[in-house]
Amino acid sequence: MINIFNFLRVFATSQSLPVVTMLILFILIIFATSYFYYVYKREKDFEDSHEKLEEDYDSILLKAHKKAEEIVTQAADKAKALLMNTKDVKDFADKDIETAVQKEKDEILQSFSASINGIRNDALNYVKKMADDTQSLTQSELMSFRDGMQKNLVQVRLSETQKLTDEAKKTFEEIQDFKAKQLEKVKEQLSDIIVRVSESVIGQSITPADHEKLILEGLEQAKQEGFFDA
Amino acid sequence: MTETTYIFSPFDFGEVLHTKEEAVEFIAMVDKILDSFFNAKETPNEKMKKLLPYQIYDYLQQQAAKQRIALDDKEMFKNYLNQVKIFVQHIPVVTIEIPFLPTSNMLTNISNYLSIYLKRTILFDIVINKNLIAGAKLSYNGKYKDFSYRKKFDLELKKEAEAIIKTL
Repeated sequence: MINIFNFLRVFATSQSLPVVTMLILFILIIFATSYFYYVYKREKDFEDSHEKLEEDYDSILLKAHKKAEEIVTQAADKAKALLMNTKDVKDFADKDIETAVQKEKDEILQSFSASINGIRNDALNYVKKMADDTQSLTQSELMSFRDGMQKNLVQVRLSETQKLTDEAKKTFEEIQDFKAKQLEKVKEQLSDIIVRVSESVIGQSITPADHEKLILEGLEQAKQEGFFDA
Repeated sequence: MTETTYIFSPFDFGEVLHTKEEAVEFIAMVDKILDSFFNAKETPNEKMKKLLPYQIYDYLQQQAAKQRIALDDKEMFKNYLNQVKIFVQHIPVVTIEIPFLPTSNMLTNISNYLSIYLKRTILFDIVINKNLIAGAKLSYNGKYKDFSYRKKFDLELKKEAEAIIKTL
């Protein structure tokens, strides 16, 4: 490189400079033009390829969309067909079940009717047997039953008689007690009445002179009993 | 100056005082007379005449005369009244429960009867109890005795009541 500069410097300082310079400039212009053309060409190619790519992309999208539409439509058709099939199945099943239920019902009724008849027959048989058994009780058993009842009745009567006797005794005692209390009350009332009447009558009938005499009698008695003695 | 001691008969004041109530009133009046002894407005005798019932005043004058008390001699009369007061305060009291309020005459008779027996004046503390019917209950010197007809009456009544009840 130093050598090239040194060469150029030599030419520039030499007398052949204008020719060389012109040559160099020409070469540079050629080179520059070529370069610019090359860049332009590359740019143009890139744009072309980009446009093409965009066109391809849109085309792919459109295709994909169409494909998807087709798939959805097919799926919907299949689903519709399937649903139609399902309804048929359901209708068929309903009809089947109804028939089965009716059948089951008839069977149960038949079974129930048979059972009722059986029970009724058993009951009739049992009643008949009971009637036969009752008829078969002997006279002696009935007599025994009657005797037992009579004994029980006698026992009950005795018990009741005893109870009545006890009650009567208790009642008699209560009456006696009540009588005694009432007599006591009468006695008290009588005493009160007699006292009040007597007090009233005697108090009014005793004269002041009699009172004085009775007091003096009391004093005399006190004297005789030594009441006033020291 | 020594004070004279007067001698009282056991029967003194028995003529005019029969009950404890009368004796208490008499002592209260004597106290009033003694309080007014040196009052210049009226003499002790005048005050005594004014306060005491006539019968008691008259009796007290007689007693004073017997004891030769000069009513004008304030000191002597005062000494005498003090001793009268002490004498009356010491008269024995017999509590008598009777069914009626006695007349004055009846009270005098009963009082005299007992005074003669006890040989001294006595005072009655009278309690009225109508339930006694007749007779009296006596209380004296801490002793008590029922001489009323109530007790006899109750005993007789009980016998009669029991006889009646037996017939029921």
